[in-house]
Amino acid sequence: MAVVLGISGNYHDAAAALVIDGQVVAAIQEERLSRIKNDAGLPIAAALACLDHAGVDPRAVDRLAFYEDPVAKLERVLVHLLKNMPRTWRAFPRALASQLGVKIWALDHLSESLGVPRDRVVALDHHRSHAASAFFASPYQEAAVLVVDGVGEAHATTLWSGRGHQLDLLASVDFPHSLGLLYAGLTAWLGFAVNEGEYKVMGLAAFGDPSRLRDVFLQKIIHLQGDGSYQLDLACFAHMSDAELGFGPALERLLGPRRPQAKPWDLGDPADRRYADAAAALQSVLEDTLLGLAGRALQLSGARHLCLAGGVALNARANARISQFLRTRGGDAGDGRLFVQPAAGDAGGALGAALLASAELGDPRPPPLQSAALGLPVDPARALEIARHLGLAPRRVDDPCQEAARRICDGQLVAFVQGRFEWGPRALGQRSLLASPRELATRERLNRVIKQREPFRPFAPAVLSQETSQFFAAEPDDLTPFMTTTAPVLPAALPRLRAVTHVDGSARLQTVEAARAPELHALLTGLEGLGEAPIALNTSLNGAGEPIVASAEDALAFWLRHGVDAMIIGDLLLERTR
Amino acid sequence: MSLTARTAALLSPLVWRTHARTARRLHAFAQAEHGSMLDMRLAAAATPSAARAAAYLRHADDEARHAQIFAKQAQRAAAAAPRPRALPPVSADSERLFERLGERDFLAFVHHGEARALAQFEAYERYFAAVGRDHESALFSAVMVDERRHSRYTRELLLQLAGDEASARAALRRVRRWELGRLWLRAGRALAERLYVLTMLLVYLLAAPLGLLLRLVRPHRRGWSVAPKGP
Repeated sequence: MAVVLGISGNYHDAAAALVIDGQVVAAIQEERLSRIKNDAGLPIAAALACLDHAGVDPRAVDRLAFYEDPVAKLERVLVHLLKNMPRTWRAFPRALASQLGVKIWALDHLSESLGVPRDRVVALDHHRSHAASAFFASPYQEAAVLVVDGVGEAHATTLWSGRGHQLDLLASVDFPHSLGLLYAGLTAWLGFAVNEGEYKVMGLAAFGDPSRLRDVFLQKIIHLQGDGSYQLDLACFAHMSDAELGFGPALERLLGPRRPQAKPWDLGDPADRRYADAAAALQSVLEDTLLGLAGRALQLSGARHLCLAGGVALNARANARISQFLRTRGGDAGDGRLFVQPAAGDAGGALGAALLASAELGDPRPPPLQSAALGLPVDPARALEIARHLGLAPRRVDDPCQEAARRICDGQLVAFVQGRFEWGPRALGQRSLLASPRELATRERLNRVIKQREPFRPFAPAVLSQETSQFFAAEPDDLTPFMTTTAPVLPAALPRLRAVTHVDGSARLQTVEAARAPELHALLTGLEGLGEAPIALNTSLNGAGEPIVASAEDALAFWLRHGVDAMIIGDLLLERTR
Repeated sequence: MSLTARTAALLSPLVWRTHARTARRLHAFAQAEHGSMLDMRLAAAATPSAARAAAYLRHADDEARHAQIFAKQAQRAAAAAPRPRALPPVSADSERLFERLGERDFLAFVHHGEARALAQFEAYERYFAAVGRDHESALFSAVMVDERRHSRYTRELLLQLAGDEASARAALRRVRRWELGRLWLRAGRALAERLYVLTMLLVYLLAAPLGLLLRLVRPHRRGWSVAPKGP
């Protein structure tokens, strides 16, 4: 029986996860506390918050597991910088300053900052941490695990066999060939910020025609091999020599000049349509590559189910295709299931590292992850006090979920803050902005006024689990509670779901059960009681470029800056006078 | 007139000479306001007093608005430059000043910073009014309304927390010293970074043969690098 703290950080999306006696007790991304989006430091505040939440003294931590090996990473960085001379002359001083000045000392820094004795601090493997985060949190005792991200120490893609407590590496594709970096390079070429704009590329893809540039991608940019592996044409990329740019001049020769950053999108403009076509081709090729990798992982492991991890696993459209592939494989292999842990990106490495170290110390596997509400709880009493000092007029309500449902029915935008905040990039009903899914105008209002984001980005629906098939051509599965997949909207349901249906007729749905998200479940039930579909538009409660709200103070700061109609914090209601 | 105001007045013709320089300067202000917003929000979460938390949240809200205004104006200036170029998104790190200084000295620091910004902005406002750049002049006038309020309330709260005028002044002296120390460290770091870059470039040149050797002994791997055991 052990107290294990898992840590990821020093690249992007720092996080901490606490596992006690094999149970996941808390998991927090540093950005929620530091208020810096994708905080790239070490998650000291998040680690202390996890320990504080559980009432554990840092000296009582039996193992502090860092999600990757800083020395192995330094070796890879150094080798690639030297191999790519002289193109790397600019990157070399900067990369070495970062590696030697900060990253190599991560374990010592963690030990000193948290007060955990140094001999209890260990470094694990990046991809193994990812694999553990997916497999050990999954409902499967036996599964293939596919990890796809930018790069860890050396691997960019790995296949694993998971059985009980055991994770065995089967095969890997190594840096510089990387699906994550392919996606990052194209994200940069499309004028979006890398590690932030990947969702935008996925949303944009639905507006393009993949067939126009698909052959260019498959012949000149990425080569898919018959054995499921892939190779990038490295001339198109610059990640070996310039981590910030990501793509090389060869890519611009093939696809045209990069799109200027921050230029407003106009999908009626042929130039922007071509960028959308490129996004569509990228998405299509990525999906095909992932299907090849998934097939290979299943073949090598002999497993029926699959777990997916790494930043690429946040691609909901690709997940939907893999899920479909698993369900429809022929013979005994049919009816396979897919699981993606909600924080599948680097933050998830903290959870994986904690679960791996916990297993090594002899603790049992945790039960399947039921809920992503693993953060700190909101304090409505504190919110009430501060709101009064702000001159607002907060009032308590008897049934906050019913109150929210009533307001959503009235066409209001409702900020909904309940219980512990979510783990991962999705708001799943604990820190959500909710609205009626019916009118397109709602989407416009949210995109332009609150979120200030591109008009092509879709919003997601949250639906009562048992009603899913009434509105979507899908049933609840292991992905839908965490909003990591998409499903087609049924044509008959379309008039009621305009605000949450993407241009391709799909929606990134979340199915809601009382056991997983009780407040959101009660709200959706309330909507149904009011004669509406038990569905709400559910988007994250954050302003443009900000992390999702965590505390009562963050919620009130959001209220001050953004014109939502009502905010419900616990049982506290704030309403905008009309 | 304070040294800050005199320096700002003296440098204004240079700082605001071209659209490109104006864009850079305004963007830097946007970043500073954004960083200040983060510090105020963290302070709101950290203070035990709900009343002060509310004051910090209001302040943070003003800073967020200022960051937005400066960023928008910076974009306009950048677009009007002879060689227009997009500015990066506004982002900043928090200095975690509340955590580092404690609430009383944090307030002293914020008060000191607001007073300095006010002096600087007044100088810029006068300059823009004098050269007929009314839009920019109005921008600084609008921001200064908030800065005056910030300066006033932080002084009141500082007096409350310090207990008396003398202790408040002592806190202000302390943060000025702290700021000087920070400036010294920053200058040292900037110098060290430059020296470091030069040293690393030298190391890079010396490592050239190693780079060639690595290409031979460790070529890029393609395809699966752990041999699959399956069929």
